[in-house]
Amino acid sequence: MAKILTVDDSGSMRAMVAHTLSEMGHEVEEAENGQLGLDAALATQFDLVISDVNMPVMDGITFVTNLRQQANYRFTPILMLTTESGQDKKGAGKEAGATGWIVKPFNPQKLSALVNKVLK
Amino acid sequence: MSESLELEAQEQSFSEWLSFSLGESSYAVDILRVREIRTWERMARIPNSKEFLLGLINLRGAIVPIVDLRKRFGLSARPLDKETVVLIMTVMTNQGEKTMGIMVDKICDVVNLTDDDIKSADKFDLTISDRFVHGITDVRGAMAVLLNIDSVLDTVDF
Amino acid sequence: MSDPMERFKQVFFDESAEALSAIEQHLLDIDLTAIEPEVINDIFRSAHSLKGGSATFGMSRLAEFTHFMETLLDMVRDGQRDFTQEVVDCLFECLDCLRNLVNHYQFEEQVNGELIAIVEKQLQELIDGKQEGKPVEGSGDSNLNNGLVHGKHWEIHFSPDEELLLSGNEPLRYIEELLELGSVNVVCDSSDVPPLNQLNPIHLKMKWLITLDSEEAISEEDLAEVFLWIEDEATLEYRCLDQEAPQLVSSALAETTKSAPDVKVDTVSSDVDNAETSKAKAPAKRTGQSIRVELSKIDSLINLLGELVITQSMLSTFNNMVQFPELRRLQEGLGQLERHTRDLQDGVMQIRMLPIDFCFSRFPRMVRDLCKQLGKKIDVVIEGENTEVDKTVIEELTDPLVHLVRNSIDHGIEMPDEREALGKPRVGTLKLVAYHQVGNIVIEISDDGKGLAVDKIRAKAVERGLIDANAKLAPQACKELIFAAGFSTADAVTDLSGRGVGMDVVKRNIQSLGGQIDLHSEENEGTTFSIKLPLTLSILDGQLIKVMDETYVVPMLAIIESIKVKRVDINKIGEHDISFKWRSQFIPLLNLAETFSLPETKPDSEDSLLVVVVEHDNQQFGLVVNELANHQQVVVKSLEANYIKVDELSGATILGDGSVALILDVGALMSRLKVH
Repeated sequence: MAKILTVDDSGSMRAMVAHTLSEMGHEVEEAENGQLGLDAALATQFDLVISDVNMPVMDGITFVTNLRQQANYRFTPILMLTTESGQDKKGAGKEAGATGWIVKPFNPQKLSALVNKVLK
Repeated sequence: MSESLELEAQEQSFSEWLSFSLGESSYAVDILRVREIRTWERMARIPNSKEFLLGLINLRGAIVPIVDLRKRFGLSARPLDKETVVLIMTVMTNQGEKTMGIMVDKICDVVNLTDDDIKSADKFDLTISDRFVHGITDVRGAMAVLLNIDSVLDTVDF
Repeated sequence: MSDPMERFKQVFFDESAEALSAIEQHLLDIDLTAIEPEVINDIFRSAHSLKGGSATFGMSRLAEFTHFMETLLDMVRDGQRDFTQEVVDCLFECLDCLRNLVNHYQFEEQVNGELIAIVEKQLQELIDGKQEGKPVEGSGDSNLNNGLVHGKHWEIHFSPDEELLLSGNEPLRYIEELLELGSVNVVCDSSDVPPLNQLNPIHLKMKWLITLDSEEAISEEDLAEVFLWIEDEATLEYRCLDQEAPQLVSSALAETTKSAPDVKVDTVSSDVDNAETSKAKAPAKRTGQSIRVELSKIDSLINLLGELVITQSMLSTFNNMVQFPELRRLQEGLGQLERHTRDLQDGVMQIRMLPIDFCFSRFPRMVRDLCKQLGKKIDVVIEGENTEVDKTVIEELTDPLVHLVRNSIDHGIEMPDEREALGKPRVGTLKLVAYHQVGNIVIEISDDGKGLAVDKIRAKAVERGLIDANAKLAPQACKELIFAAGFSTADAVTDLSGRGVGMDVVKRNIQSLGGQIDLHSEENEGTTFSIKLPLTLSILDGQLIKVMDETYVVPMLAIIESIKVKRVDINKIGEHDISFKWRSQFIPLLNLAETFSLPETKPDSEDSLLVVVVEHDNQQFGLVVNELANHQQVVVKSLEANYIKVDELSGATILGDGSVALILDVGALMSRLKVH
């Protein structure tokens, strides 16, 4: 069982991600933008962070950049949720330090496969 | 729902009825429709309502009207006594299920009836509207009128 | 709704509604001469979330449409396309399509394919329009991946950049993933690993040579897919070992993957800059945390609370010192219980409260559309949009408000030229104001238009047979004729003022909510409608009154005052009390005992009567009662739930002693005045 943080401004997306991951037996915490995500990540050590790109207050790229600068998050897998049109965002996400990305739309099966890819 | 209840009863080939009296006459209602039996309590009179409506009571937070069954059936009034009870009934209306009460002189029995025990009331003048009557039956040698409660408490008449 | 996917869909629908109104608000507020990047970002973000969600929940038409929209917005955001009025107009139309599509998936509303096709075409034209002039970056790369080499045996050179670990990637995972494609033989090249004293553990200095043998033919794309996340962070060479495979293609591909990062770094850093600046500019409007709760759950909570209030007031009636020697302590406890119950009640009622903005927010768009249609120019001013009111009140209020606003635009505010000639600004103003006033919400809709012309109204009322040609009417009474049933009929109502509904219906709707509507209008200056409503429909601020032995509740909203009137001051006709003089005019009297045909239990001997002066529709009348009891909040219960609607009553409630008290409908009582 891993501790996972999911950051997304869309409640429905967050709920789906959280539900899928809890079904897999993980412990999930939710945050609705990068700033709140950062607050949560600093309060708890997560084993995996899944973040949306487009969010108000603090977007996903800034969030990941900031998170990577934390010593305890240097090696933590971080996945970004992108859409197929967001090619350049994938690059930006990588540059910010994301481990990989999950392309929307995705279903629970695809999500669990990708999460298993980064969690041992 | 009333139909399904009745159907279910038919499958078991008997139904249970709660009998009560108004003066000398016996009546009975489908026991599955009786929610509870209460003693008489103070009611809030409803202004300008039909004479047979006694008023409203507070049934655990719900506002429930109580009908004086004597008056509904055109019988003479009778003072309240220790045996006067109110039967809280489930009534099916075209606006859905409602809860209403009927005040009766006293309750008597629970009787088990098979379909064959329930006879047509066609040839008798029971002094009440035919639509109120489901049939008649024999309870300890006396005739009891089985009531169709949805018609007796039809709000169209209120 | 036990299926979690269905639940998430529901959340998505709620979000969509929010996203749509957010886009609409931005479009309405937008100033094309000074566009803030954050506004475009916000609109883009809303469209983007809609797209992501709809695609995830399998709402393909919605996903397709938002994709179009997003493409245009993306171009605007990147400066490839200017944010022109044309774009704004098109986006407004997009909103209509989006609403239709969301409703299609949520409520099975018919898809308006025609409209969508038109709007999609507009979008496409806008997208194509600017693409020729400005350079398009970053597209076309993907074509390079078309190396259609298939084979069962592959050799993979995997040399990660030394920073790979810092992106949370673990090389072994990728090698493990290859196992899913076939059997793998891995040789690790650790020749670059420095001696231990120089070793920096976060730098990855190893390379791998992997041979993969598969049962089935694998394409280069399949392999690239495995390493997709780290294609920019590693040098990867895929060499097909099958005989027929041309070796050139794979090395060419390796070239491109290697050179790709350099190109992208520039665009990336500028992107990050953008993100930084937009973050700095973002206004401090971080919304409060919220959860979504089904209304029925709150309602059952409110019902329970009602019970608690009743229990609490029931307990407070036990004040017999003899029976309860420790009464004082009990009373202290009861006092606390009462305070806490009250706080709890306020708190729970608060949950149902929504800002009136939920209702107001539709008007700017509506006014804009109507103005376009009519050639009028109107500014909408909204004040107090955060004023909170019960959700059910908002729902019931929306239709009447729509009607009033349409009325102001249609009949109130003049055409720009006409206004200019009158010395008014060309642009008219429609003002929507909301504020609280002791337990009520007041909503004012005012315009600076032509106002109501008393003569015209009078003439029309005579024509419609509503008043006699010779009737004497004060100007205000005359203006209020617009509320009379039968005043506004089809020919007076253009298609704008809508649906053949007259002002009488508006008034009736407001009254059925326990509210009142007032009108103030000056010719050539404008008209103001003022609506006063209780904040909630489930709890009522009531005055208990006693008539004979029965207790009734009068809504405080209707009460002006309670006074004693001497018998000699009451005008009688025969046995009936008819009127008395109140504030220098005669007002009718209604004897409740008589109206409700109560059995006389009190001797009629006192020399004065207790009269509660109530008001409905700006008309006052007196209710003769025997006694005033408590003034308290009561939980309104419907009579229809188990009984039927009773004309003079708006419901019932349960008092502290558990007994039922009926709530008077003052308006209905007034209409009974004439019946006698």
